[in-house]
Amino acid sequence: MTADLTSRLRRLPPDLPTPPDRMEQIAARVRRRRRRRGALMAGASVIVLGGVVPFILDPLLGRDRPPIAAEAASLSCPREVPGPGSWVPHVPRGVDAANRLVPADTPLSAVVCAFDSVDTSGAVLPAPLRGRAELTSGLRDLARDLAWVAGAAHGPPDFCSGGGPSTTYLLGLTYVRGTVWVSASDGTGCIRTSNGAFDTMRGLGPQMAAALDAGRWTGLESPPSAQGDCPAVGWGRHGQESVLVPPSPTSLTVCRAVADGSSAAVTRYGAERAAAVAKALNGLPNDEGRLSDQEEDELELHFHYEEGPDVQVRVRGKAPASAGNGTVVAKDVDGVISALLRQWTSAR
Amino acid sequence: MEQEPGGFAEFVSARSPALLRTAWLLTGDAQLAEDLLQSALARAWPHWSRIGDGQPEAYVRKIMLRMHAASSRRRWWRETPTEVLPERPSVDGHAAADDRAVLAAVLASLPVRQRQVVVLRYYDDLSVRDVAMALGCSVGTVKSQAHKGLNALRSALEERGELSRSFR
Repeated sequence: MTADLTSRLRRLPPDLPTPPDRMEQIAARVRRRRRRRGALMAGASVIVLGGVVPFILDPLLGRDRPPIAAEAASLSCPREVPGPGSWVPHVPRGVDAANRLVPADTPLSAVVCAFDSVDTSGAVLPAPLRGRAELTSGLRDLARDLAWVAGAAHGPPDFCSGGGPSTTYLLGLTYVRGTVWVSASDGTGCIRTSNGAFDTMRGLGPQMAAALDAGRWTGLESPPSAQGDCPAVGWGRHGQESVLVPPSPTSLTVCRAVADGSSAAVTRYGAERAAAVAKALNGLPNDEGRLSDQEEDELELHFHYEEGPDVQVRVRGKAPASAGNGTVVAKDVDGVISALLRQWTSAR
Repeated sequence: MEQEPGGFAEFVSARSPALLRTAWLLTGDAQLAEDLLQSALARAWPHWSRIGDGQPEAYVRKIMLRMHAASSRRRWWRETPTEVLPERPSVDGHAAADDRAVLAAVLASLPVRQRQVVVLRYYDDLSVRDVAMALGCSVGTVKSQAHKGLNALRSALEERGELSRSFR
């Protein structure tokens, strides 16, 4: 009797169809689970960081409690943007991103929104949402890459080829205490990348497009010859928009141009001498113009830091030489820098 | 699409049909079975590097069983146990399908733990020890639940005069 039952049981299941997209559906469930887990973690963090810790510490420190504005889930893309330009849904909320493109903290979530391409030379029309992707990995690298991006100098962009088709992207980031939107464009270089309070001339359109396709942050494009002692510096360093050498370099590599167009290291100095050169350069009068493209670099000064990208200062021209980091230019460089370098070189 | 861990897609392709049939016996519904299977696989995904080289099918089956038990407690699957089984099938061209419907209804009427034991022991043909490991209970519990489950199936079918008929 048991054998009869068992036999009937084994014939019981019907032919069950196999969904062609079963793997995609499973992957979608994995993403949803991670988002829910992130939201739960964020909620717990908010309770602990935003509620318990300030509740205990703030009275002791005698300060008012800050507003808590945690938005753990991914931001929703706007249905449209007003047109090409550095428009963001709102300036950074709840986090300090007025002096940086994004905070250095790893965001809880990131979403990339892409809007229909519009012709920047034509009428400025709303561009509807074309696609969105939540970035499931690479968020720590995203923070590291974008937090250090150099700001934009005042005035018009250096390179702007006018109108043409342009796709606008928005990057929405959530943190324990707030949100940041970053707008970017893959257009002609006329549109600044901006969070509404901090601008950079670095075009992040290609990175946004790559992230949209991949569903993860794929990093900044490395400049050519990014390796070696004298690497090309592609994205600059936060702070070099206002001063030739941002503070606290840990070392300095002096490079000289060689015949094949690359650079070779001449010598390397430690923190003390790097700081001395930085101080001397930063004390020079600024030049309102730009470094001449017609003259070859005499020297390249690569300032290295404990964290974040290097700063490359190019010294060009015979006396009077000028030096620039891509944004800030100083003049009358010869006397100060050349003397220092000659002195140290001869002392070696 | 997010990149799945190595060997995961191959496992899904190879073992999903069998796991889906088990899920169907547990839930009694094709869509719920697919949902249960996918949910279990999604939970196994993050741990695949650890379980992929061991006994992944046993691991996924165990997840399925736990989710099924938990969801049954929450009535997630919208199960509506009934004392009234489907009408006795007439002896005609649809008899085989009707037999399945009756047996499926009887199986669905069993308590969740009994149903799981019966499915694992008599459909998946697991040993008593493996069933105990899958369900996290003792061998004695498996034996008693299997005995009760079979008796319940037998009684329900005998009441309907189904058991004596050969299965077409």
